[in-house]
Amino acid sequence: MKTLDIIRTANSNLLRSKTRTILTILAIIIGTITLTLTVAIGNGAKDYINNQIKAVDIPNGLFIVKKNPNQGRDGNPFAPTDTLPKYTNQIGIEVTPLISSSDMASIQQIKGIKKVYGEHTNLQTLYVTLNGNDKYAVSAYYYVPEETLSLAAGTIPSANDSTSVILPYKAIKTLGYSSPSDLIGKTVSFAFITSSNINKVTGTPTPTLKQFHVSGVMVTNLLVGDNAIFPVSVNNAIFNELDTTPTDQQSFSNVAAITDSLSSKDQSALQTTLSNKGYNSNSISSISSSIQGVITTVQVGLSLFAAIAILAATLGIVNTLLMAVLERSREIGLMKALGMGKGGIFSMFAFEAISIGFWGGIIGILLGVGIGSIANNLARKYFLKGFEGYSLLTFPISFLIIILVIDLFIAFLAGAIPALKASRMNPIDALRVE
Amino acid sequence: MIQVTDLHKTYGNKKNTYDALNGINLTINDGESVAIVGKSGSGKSTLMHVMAALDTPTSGSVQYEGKNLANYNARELNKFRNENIGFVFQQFFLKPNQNVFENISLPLMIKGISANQRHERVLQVLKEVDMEDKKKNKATDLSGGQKQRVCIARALINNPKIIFADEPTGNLDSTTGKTIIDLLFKLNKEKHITLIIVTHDDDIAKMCDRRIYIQDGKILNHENT
Ligand SMILES: Nc1ncnc2c1ncn2[C@@H]1O[C@H](COP(=O)(O)OP(=O)(O)OP(=O)(O)O)[C@@H](O)[C@H]1O
Ligand SMILES: [Mg+2]
Repeated sequence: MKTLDIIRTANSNLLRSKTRTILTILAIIIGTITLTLTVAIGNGAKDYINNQIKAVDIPNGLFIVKKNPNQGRDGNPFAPTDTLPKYTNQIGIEVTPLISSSDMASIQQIKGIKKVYGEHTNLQTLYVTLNGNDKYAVSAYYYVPEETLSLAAGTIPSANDSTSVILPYKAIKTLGYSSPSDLIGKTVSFAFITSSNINKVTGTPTPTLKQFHVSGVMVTNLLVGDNAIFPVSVNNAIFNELDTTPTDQQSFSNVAAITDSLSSKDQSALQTTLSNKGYNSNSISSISSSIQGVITTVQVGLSLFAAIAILAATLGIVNTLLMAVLERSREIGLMKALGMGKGGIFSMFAFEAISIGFWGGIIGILLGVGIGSIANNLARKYFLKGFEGYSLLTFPISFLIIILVIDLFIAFLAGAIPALKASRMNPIDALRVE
Repeated sequence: MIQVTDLHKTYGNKKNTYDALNGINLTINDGESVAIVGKSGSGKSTLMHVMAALDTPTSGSVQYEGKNLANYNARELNKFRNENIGFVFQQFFLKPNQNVFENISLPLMIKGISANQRHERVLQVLKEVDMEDKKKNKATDLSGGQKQRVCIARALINNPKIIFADEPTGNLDSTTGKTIIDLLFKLNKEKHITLIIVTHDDDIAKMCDRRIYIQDGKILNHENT
């Protein structure tokens, strides 16, 4: 029998008991919608994280802080200790120890580290002002020359530009403008302060005002937040100006290192070396991959529930086809008598199952994508306002194809049981049926 | 030529056996018309099924042109039935969801003939059974006699050498039955198709070249016309 004839016959057989076929397909549709949506939500979240991380990428960048000797047992910050913490010449025991100039030198010497930049988090910005009267609270984010930033408008200032700043997206509306390009070229003042500029008795801060011209506006981004963005050189220069104690000037709270392009094996070896020397380190890619890992785990978990729905639906296929085999046993007997082989009978029923899986899968995927698009639009209008570049659900075509293939495969497996039963029928028994 | 030698067919399990065929010996020549006659339960249908390669004998052999069916594998037997044998049953066995045309083309479809090539051949056999005007009708909408003519057309579609008809008039009134029988004998005479009819009806049996009387799975006697 020709394949085309098998497919035609199978499809016309499916139409014989329309209600039953439609109900079976409906069950597959529901399972497929569930699977499509769970996969899409996970993908949406992953895409979002990826976009956010891509907006402030430091290729081969590594963030380094010194381990707090008082932090937990065995280097685990959450493990309780059974002794009192050691005193480290700093107020408060939660503070991460500073990285001294000798620390910097020893980090610099580690093989694989190309460059290190120290940052003083002790330097703070109190506010930003455009006209000198209206002051808006803002914090600072310092970038290293190797960092790539996604801007909504303008350009990234060069590494040693000490008079340019990138403003956060919210600054547009705050300062009374409507589009990011309106801000470019404007002059704003920032109030800087370190702990040494706070009166020890009264607690009154004496900030230093510095003028910057706006060279860029940052896109809304999770990692940078609502910070004003300066080159790290600005951080060092202003700190040195405000705090003249040499030991303070040579101590950094954290360090951004640029490494050679390392294989993941060399990278983890480098991080182990750092850890042995008493430093915790993190790369953007490792942060990203650990977040992605969590999302994938959740996604797989949710998909399993959806898969159970599809599995339940396939029991419907088994049931529908078993009934069809019983109803059509005379017909099966006749076809066998007329020379149809086991293979032909099997294919016919298997194809009926695949056809149910196909229509259930296609319709389910289309409905899933449709529901997802509506959800995306609603989300964009209401609770995702301001999250640029984020779709609640994304539907990569490759995933949709995989879902369809899963549907077809499971449907085939479900159809195999009745199909086998039909193919093994004895024509004479079937023909003797009254 | 069909040659049946010492054919036995036993139904049932070890404890409870029933010998439906008890040593049948029989030779049927090409173009012959043969009636298999006997009481209900005597083994007529069983004999027909074994001869038509629908069932395997417990012992003994069925040979076509000297070739033993026992030497054929399942695929070869399917092909053999499809191409050489036409079946006409008491209960028609038409597919209710298909029209006359589709029902008749089933054996060609099973054989793997494409839809285009099937078309002409179906029209041809429709003419032979005088049912051209009903080709688009659903099989369920036909009268009993028309249904049986569709079945004969289906049996003819592959130009078979032999037609096995198991009580072909069992579900028809006597006049309709007569036209069906006339059609079968016309095919036997004009196309030299060997005709093997299982029947209760003495009148039908008398029209055949030969009658084989069966009782308890054995041949009582042959009777030539
Ligand atoms: N699958 C089976 N299992 C057990 N016994 C069977 C089976 N098929 C047929 N028989 C028995 O074999 C005997 C012959 O049956 P068969 O159908 O050949 O009779 P028949 O001559 O065609 O009768 P009828 O004229 O009623 O059609 C019967 O007694 C029947 O009960
Ligand atoms: Mg019978």
